[in-house]
Amino acid sequence: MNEIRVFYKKTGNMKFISHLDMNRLMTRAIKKAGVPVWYTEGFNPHPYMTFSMPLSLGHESYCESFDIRLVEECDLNSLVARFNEVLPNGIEITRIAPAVNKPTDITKAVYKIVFYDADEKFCTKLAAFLGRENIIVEKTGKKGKITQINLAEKILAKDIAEADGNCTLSVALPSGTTENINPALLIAAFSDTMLEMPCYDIIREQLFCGEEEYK
Amino acid sequence: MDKKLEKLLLSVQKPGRYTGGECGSIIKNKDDVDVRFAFCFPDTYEVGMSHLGMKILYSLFNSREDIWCERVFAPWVDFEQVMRENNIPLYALESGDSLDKFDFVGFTLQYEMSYTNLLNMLELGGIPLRSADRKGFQYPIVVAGGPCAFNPEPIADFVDIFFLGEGEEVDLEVIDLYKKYHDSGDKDAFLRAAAQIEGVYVPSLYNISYNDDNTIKSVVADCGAPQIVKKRIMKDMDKSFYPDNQVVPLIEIIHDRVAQEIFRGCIRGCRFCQAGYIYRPVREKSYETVNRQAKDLCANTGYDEVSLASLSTSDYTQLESLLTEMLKWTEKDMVNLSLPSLRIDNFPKELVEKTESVRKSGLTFAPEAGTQRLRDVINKNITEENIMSGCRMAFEQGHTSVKLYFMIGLPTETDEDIKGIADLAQKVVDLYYSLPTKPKGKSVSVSIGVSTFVPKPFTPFQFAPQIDREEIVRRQRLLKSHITTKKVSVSFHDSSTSFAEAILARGDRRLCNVVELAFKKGCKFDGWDDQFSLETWLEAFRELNIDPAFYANREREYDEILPWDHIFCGVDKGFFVKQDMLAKQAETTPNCREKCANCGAAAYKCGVCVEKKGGAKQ
Repeated sequence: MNEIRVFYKKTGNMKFISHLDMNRLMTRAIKKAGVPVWYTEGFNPHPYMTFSMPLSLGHESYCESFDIRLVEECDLNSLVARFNEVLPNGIEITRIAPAVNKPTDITKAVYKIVFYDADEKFCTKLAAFLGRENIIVEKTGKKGKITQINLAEKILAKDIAEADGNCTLSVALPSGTTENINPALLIAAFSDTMLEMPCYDIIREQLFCGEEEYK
Repeated sequence: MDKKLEKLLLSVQKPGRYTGGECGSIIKNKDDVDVRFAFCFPDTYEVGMSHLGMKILYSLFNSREDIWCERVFAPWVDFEQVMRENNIPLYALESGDSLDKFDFVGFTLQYEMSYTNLLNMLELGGIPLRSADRKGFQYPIVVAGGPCAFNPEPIADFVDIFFLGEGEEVDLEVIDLYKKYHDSGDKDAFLRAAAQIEGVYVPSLYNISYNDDNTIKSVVADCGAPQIVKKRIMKDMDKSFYPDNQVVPLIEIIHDRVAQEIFRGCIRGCRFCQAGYIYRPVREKSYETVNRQAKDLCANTGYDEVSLASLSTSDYTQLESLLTEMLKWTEKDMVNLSLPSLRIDNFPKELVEKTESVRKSGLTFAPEAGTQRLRDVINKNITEENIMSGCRMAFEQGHTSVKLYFMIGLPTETDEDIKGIADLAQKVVDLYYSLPTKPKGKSVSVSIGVSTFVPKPFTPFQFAPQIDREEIVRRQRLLKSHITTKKVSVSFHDSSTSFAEAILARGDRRLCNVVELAFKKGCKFDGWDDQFSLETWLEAFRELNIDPAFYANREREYDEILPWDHIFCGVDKGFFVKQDMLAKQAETTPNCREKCANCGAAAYKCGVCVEKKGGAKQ
């Protein structure tokens, strides 16, 4: 049996679809495209499918993936085309390949945050904010426990660019089962210092295991 | 979608309700079509997307190159507030265009409590509520169909055209007629011509006068409209249009599966049930057609569950052949087969064993009344023996829970009948413990769902009063007091909603003002317990000096002119009178396949009325 990893982009209006919704969507796509997958045994058989890393509702992503098991040999390239034929706009399979890393190996993620109609002044304020030594926020963990963390320490890399009237922030943050910082926390902290905020999109561009791209 | 709207969507529950983009949704170029139709379901996305009628008509309209049909659902209260605050009009999911840009705005009326939502959607779409205020073709033509269209009088002032019966032909005929009249700008001429099409009811062409006692004096058709409006039905179900694809929702909805229709109508003639009369005569699809349609839908949608939809699935004469054919591919394709609407006295054990879903879900039966006498009154021809043997079969298969549905407030009901419900539940519990084959160590759970009887138009009980709310509560308490074991649990459907339903179901045209005022006072999503406010409705009644009890709690004389008498649903009024008289004697009537009762549906010359005797269609 072949364990393969399906990589896809989730963009546009698909950002409003939850994780469970994605599960259902992919199950149906598998059926429509006739992908020969292995079904779990037991009371409620369904295609075996595990997603690599959860994504917040409202965020887009270029690096989503899930694992399935094929029960027949398949040309993985033509499988990409078969899948894309039956998926809605906003979900696009980018490649299918045998899984390399384990999802638990993921340590960081790079995000692109695009602020629309944001001028130079905005970019300057953002850069100043991100340059601070302390960005203290409260994070509610499981079981409702509230801890204080300094986001400034968590920013692994950052870059701000201005183009076409928009301000784009590229930021690397810890991501994975050991530690996970949601970029929304950072934006929320920045929002608190601003009177007005432009509309923005958060896009997860790539997942990493250490310095290597997650495959 | 613009970024501002996206940002607003992130602030509401389930934003996926408002985005569209689903597989199976049809996108066309609006400049390439002649007619744009907005199909509006007056409830949330999750409720409306489960509706089979919309799936059929959406596909049918879009199969025409000159028509583009899009979907619109009622925004939930949180998004509605956002819309109003930001001047966002109600829009269709496919194009994002506001409702007022369409040629037709069509509603499906599944239940009376959706009327305020209908008004709300018109208002949010920028469309004047009253037909009289929509002059020429500057606003869309507002149309409506579905079961409540059979007595649409409480919303007659807001809708230009009602479709009576099944829309697969008549809807397109009206759309074609519209194309002819559109350039002239003469809406009145269009409506007069539409009224000539069978199945079309144009309420503005009917003048209603009242007696001093508030009953109807006369209903007179004007401008050549037919004095009696007859419903339309599809006579040959195998040839009738049926979709091979449907819009597959991206978010979770109530019935997330393929709903495969197997027949229309019902042979049983239970006297409280409106659907059983307005969809007469029974017309079956051949099992080959059903199987092919279900298979195509599963392949095109990727759904892994098919539900066989009808009013009474075990009455389908070809059920065995159908299940045999379907199981050939459903088992292999990992598709689940679900059979709701099974009658307890016609419960084919071997067949049902083949369908896994019944094993998985609990079993539900609807005896409706607690004593044989009352069951005979309502013509629900089920005996206690039927109920017990159905439960025995379920228990022997490993089920430990059973759900039983009953109604309170049925005509001629006494306290004995109420006690009968509790006795019946107790007998089911006792049966479980008497069985040697019951699951070890597990106790049984019998849950009783009790709703309040609402008399409906086009039933033998359309003359009956609904009992007063105080009396309903007394009977509910009485039932509860008779339950003496923890193995039986009772839940009651809210009686104030039932009261509101009873008013609107048999309302006349004077209620339009009440519906409008209730809406203006903030009534909407009346079908939702946490949104419904009877007090606000009653305020509207008081301000307009109209007594709601006149509609809900009054017994009608047989010769009273009812607000729907000028509509023919396939059954003669005389038949309803006779059935009500039989009910009062607790006399039953056999079903259509046992013996024809001459209800009037034979006028349509199809379906069960022309089946060879002996049951199976030749």
